[in-house]
Amino acid sequence: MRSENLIKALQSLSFTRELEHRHLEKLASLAQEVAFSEGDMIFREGDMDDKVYIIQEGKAAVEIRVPGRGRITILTVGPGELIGWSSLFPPRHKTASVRSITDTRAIAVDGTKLRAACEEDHDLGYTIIWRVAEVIAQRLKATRLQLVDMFAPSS
Amino acid sequence: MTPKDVNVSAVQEHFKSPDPMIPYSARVTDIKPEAYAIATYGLMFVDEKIRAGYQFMPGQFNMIYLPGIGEVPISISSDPGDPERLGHTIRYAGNVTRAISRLQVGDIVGIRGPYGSAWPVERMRGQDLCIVTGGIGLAPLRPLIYTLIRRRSEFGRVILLYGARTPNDMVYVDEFPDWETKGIQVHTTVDRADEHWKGHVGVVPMLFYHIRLDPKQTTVVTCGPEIMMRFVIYEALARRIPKDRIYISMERTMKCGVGFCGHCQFGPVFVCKEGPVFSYAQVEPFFGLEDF
Amino acid sequence: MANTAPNIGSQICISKDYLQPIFEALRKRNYRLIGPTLGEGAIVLDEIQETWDLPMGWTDQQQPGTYRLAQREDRSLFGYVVGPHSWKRYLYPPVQELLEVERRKDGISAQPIPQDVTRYAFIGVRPCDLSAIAIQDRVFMGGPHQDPHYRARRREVFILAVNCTRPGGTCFCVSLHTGPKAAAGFDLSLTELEDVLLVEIGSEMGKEAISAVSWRPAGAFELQAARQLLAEAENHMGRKLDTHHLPDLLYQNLEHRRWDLLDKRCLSCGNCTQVCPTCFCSDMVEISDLRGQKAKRVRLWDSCFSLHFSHVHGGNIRPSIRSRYRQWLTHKLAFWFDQFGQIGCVGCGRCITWCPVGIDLTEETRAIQMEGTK
Repeated sequence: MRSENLIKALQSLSFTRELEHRHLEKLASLAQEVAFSEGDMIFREGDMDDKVYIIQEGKAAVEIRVPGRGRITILTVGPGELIGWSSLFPPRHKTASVRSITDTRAIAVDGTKLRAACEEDHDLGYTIIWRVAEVIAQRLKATRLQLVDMFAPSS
Repeated sequence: MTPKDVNVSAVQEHFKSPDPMIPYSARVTDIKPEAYAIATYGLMFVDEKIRAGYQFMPGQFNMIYLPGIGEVPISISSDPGDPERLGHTIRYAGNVTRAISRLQVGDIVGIRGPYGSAWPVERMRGQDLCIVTGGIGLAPLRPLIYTLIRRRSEFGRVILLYGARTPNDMVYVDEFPDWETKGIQVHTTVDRADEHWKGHVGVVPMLFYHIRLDPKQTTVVTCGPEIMMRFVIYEALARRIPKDRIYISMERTMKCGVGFCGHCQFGPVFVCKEGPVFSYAQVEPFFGLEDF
Repeated sequence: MANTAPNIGSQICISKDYLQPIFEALRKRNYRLIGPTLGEGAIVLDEIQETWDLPMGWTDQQQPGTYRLAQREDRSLFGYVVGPHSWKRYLYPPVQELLEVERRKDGISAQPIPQDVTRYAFIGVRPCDLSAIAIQDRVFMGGPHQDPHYRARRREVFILAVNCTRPGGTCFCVSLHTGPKAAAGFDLSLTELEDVLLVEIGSEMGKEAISAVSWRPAGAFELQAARQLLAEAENHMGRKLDTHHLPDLLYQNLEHRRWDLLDKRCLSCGNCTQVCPTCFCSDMVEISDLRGQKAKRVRLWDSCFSLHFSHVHGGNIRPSIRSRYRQWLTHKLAFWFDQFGQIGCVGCGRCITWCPVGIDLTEETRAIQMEGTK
């Protein structure tokens, strides 16, 4: 029952929509629902919590703390979006912090188990890694645009 | 390359003076600070006849003149339904605009115009509209938004994706709630913010990931720095929006506004005459070409 | 001999001595005569009074980056080609005060500054330059907005064209079908033969000017001689431009590596745009009194080679010489088609001669043609 709800939830989220049913089942078996209140840290830069999250509801800020400048928000993320991808790749600690801006619900997937599942079933692996790559590509594009500071006034 | 859908204004014809370089006096009626170094100037022609005869279409611009200082092209940002009360949102950037920053209510400026092509409102009828813009790029789109609101039933969904460098660089934010109640879906984002900002952070093109567009019936309209428009076009094309349903507004130097001075050339077109509004289909071969 | 006026379109012969009375007839009709004359070490355009002011017996030797005067062995009146000046300096002067502006309590008063309304008679307009005038007509009078000052001056101009029997080292009018014979757009057109002038009547005004002198219908020998001279001229063009693939060739090669080479050769001095008879870009400057109460708006020739030309508040659109040279050449040979329905070059060769480093647009175009795309 719990697993069925999770499957339904995954189906409705953009990161996991249109996955094959057996893949959804597999994912659901590695996942659990989690909830955060406004202002909670979902994870911190450097954490080895080994979880990736797909946000179901709410909004969260991806932050990097810069001494003397406080917490700089790099990006905000919302329903359907993946956070914590850095846990899937060595050295596996988180490369940014994520804080919930509103009350947030998410599906947390165990990173180690997910990697093992992808290794075991390359069809699943291909799909998951492809989708993760899309997320990273999109973030790279966004980061480049932030880097060029497109609205900067000319000197 | 004279597109059917983006016509040089018929109004322009009507308003044609025997000497196209002569400006008409207009008085500053109000000044509203919008954001850092940006304000909107309400202007009214001094001559009643000019005031009564003046009309413009959304997306067009005027040449604004200060005696002894110079002239700059500035897009019109007010409601085309109320052309007697012209509005120009101006960022203080160069010589002339910095001089404008010293103007007070009651002061006089010279105006020539309106010039250039307009957002193709008629061609947008029945379509969903996705307006994507950043910073002061919203100024030339505001007349379009007012038009859409007035004729709201003629259009499908209207979505505004608006970004700025920081929360302090956004213009017209006080109007957004009103626009939302009148059927415009507004999504905003900023490039950078501190922890006090509760809105979205991320560059404007990423807002495309928050919405679904129907490629069969969506027109994308964009205005902003060229780099921003390029990335907006990539996102629109990735969503299979046809090239002739993507519209941009270009910026180039202009000294005359009427096709004589040559400064605003962009390949085969004069931005002051055939532009500033172009469909992406028109400019694709040249858009994004380095140093072109 | 016959002194009834010749018909428009007819060809007649007059003695070379009769050029002077034609000049006088024009002056009597309040024309100020502008024509080729020796000055500044070149054949330039300036006011002329009589035939003696023409560079009789002189010629020019032109090559990329080179211009030299030389003496001819004969006493020809028109044995040279175009110099650094073109007629645009009269129709579209380099400095033009357009408006006088005054700040007043009730508004800005902007009054057009009375323009030079001289009636010019252009003496010795070469066929290439005749085409250049037609091209600028289209720029300033062919669109929805018209330049009233250009129009006022242009309307008054009398044109005495001279066909080219001795092309210069950088000429290529044949490639652009603008010469060496003037086809239309003149009041009178001359072909200088050994001992007479063969004259074609182009207009009522031309007819009137010629009525001052005695003439006779052109004979078969003279017509034949002129035909032969012009045919020879066609075969002796110093340069050649293959327009066959234009404008597409340039459209398809906007990132060609030739532009990178030009980036290193071109000095971005803008000479080519100043001597070009079709270049029309201008800047507008403001000349203010110290109190900022009165100002003049002045239009100046500008050049797409200058850095400020393409400045917008976000920065400069064309910071590299590569991009500025590309703008100039592609505008001239490609984008002009879209803008005005014709090519923006008339084959006069001035830009080649007066380029301090001798960049030759015919050679650049050929290089892109030969090397193919990219």
